[in-house]
Amino acid sequence: MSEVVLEVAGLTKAFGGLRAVSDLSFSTFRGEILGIIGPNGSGKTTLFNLITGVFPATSGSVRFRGNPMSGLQTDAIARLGLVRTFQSATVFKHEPVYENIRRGSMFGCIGNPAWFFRRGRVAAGASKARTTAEDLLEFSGLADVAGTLAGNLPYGKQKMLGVAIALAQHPLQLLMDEPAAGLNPSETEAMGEFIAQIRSKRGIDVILVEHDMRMVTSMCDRILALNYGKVIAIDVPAKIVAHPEVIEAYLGADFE
Amino acid sequence: MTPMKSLLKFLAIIAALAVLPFLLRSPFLTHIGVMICLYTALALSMNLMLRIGQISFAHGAFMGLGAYGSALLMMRLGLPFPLAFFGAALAVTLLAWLVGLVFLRIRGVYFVLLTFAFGEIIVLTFIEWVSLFGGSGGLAGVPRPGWFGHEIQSRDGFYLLALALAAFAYASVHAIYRSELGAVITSLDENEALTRSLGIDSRRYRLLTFCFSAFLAGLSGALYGHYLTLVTPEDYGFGVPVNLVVLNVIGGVAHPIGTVLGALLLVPLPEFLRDAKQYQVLLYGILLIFFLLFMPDGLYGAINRFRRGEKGGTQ
Repeated sequence: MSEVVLEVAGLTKAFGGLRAVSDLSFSTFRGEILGIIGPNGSGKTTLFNLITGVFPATSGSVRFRGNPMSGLQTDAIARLGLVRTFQSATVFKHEPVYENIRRGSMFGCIGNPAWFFRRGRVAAGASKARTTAEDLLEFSGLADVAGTLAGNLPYGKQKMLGVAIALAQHPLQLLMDEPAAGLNPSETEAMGEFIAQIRSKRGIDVILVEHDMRMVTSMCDRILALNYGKVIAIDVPAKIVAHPEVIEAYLGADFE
Repeated sequence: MTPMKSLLKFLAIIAALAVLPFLLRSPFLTHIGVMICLYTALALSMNLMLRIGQISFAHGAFMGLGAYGSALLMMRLGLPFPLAFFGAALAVTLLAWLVGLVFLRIRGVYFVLLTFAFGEIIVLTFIEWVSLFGGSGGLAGVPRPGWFGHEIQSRDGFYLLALALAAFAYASVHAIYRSELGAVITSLDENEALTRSLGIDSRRYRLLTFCFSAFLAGLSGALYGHYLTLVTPEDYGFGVPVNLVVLNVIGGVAHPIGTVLGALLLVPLPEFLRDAKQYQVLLYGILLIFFLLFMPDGLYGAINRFRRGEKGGTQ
């Protein structure tokens, strides 16, 4: 296999007596879309929160392109190119679509207020942010609603915008938390198409947490199945859907 | 409007306001002008906190520390006014940085309670530390501002100083909101998780906002003390931040001009109602209820809607 991008080793998170994530280890490779499945409460979102530094792990480590991420805050991790999207549509509702994407690009350049005083940084960041926003409006199919307040968009478009905001940071790897949740079938299809293009046209790696099994099996190179915060299996989709433990814990016997 | 044009407009308004007392020649109105200017600066400092979504009840204390600090630096150390004035405000900023490191980790009502407790501790310190702060009687005979032997004695002179302070507060807060800094501040209030995921170090930005807000409160407090020539602890209690929030809510939080409108409307009230102090709180209460029910976005929001309605009348 090719170069390792994200390396999770022995990751554990205990909330009191509950081990939401327990001794979890896996790696992702350059160019890969990795799916993560598991029943509700199996630790998928906790895993995302640990990787992106929302809260610290009890033990274990996360390495991104060889660099340890422990102790880093969410914002620092994002600036290194490991960016997440959220389960519910998460956008700046009171701002126009264009401004949402522009902020996605701009904020990385001014993450620390001290950077305001570095000469030319704000101006350079602002001009790059404008180009990025215009490019991503086209790429994500939101150009015709560029001036609309994000909160007035239909839910499917809001989720699309959430992904576009994340892309504006030029991430190396995108962690997507249930991009299809709350979408109707045609919106889900559009989202699937969009994710495929994120990899093929932008060369961005993706980790995809999703309940829509059709999307996961058709898009992912490998799937990681979780239950009770532990890895049941990590393998190619065909083997995962036939894995007895995965069927028992998550898919159910009638899954085809 | 181009930035140059709006700057010229701003300077023209300040110049017009500056000559006003010399035309009106009314000491009472000049006094009200001083109070409006001081409260405009204070309310703008609170506006910054409201914009990051954290109401600070420490601002009475910051104002008081500015007042006591500047007075003491002149009275005890014999520093010239400008040094004492800015020195006190910088000391307040430093203190805000120290307490902000801890307080700003906490959100919502707990932040309000923490800053409230902090404010009360500071006021109690003013009362109990008699040898330094003069106890309940406070400090009397606070020197007038002066520079190289020129002392500002007249109300008009004070008015010009207070106007300069209000203009500085307005220009800086307005510039912050128009810059990328303003985008960060509103984003933090609207969705902190998203803002952080976009690479913003939210703690540093909140701390910066808190410190600048405290700096403005410290400056205003310092000038207030020199104006009254008397600094007493009860002036800097819990009532100050409450009034500042009320000014902002009634004027409108969304734009600094709303804050100015709030000060223009509410600051003169107690001066005119001096003989009917018991009705003052009642009037504040009625106004607040009226605005919260019918104009939740304040005077600024109402004017804005009216103007948009005029323009969009043909649709």
